[in-house]
Amino acid sequence: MTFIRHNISIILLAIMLMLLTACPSTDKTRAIARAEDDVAQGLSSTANLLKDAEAAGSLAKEDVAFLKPILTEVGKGNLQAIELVKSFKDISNPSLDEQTKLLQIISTISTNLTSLNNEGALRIKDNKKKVLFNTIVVSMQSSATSIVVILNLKGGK
Amino acid sequence: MDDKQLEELLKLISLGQAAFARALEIINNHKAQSGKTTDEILTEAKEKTEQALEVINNL
Repeated sequence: MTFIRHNISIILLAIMLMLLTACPSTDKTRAIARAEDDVAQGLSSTANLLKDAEAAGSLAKEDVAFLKPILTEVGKGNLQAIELVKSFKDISNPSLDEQTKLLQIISTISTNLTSLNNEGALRIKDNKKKVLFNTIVVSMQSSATSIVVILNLKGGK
Repeated sequence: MDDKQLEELLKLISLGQAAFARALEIINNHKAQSGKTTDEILTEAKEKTEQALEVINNL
């Protein structure tokens, strides 16, 4: 049981990688775009969860105020990543410089997600909501991490 | 099975439920993206992020 709980992020990452790399015709940029879309969806789910948790009284207003800037940074980072990928000169074959810039953004997103996960887990009182929150944040983390893996994949476009 | 183990099992099941629900959401999202160009996916991701930021801003 402990093994599964401690490895839930690895399981989610495995699912994510399977989805993003399973199709042989999938090019890197398309896979990255999908991962960014997953982060966007996770962001929306997290925002709605915090809204519900506050309304239900399982998260104090000051706790929401604490988590809000971290979540905002994740969103801003995702927008930066999307804009960067859109600006790739050769969309199917990003240059080393473009890949480095993307990795820097992903690294910031990842740091903020770790902080969000830790702080949220401390603050959300309802256990079910806490588990859901952790799962969504971990899946966003997995999507962000998958971008690093995709960039390092050999072959493809 | 004692009470502590039962509690542990319940926690694990709810964690599994949440993970599966999230995985399902992601799979459905990927399914919805098939047939779309990379640029369309990126545009959609941008719109979703902006909408989420609006919700976050109103928290």
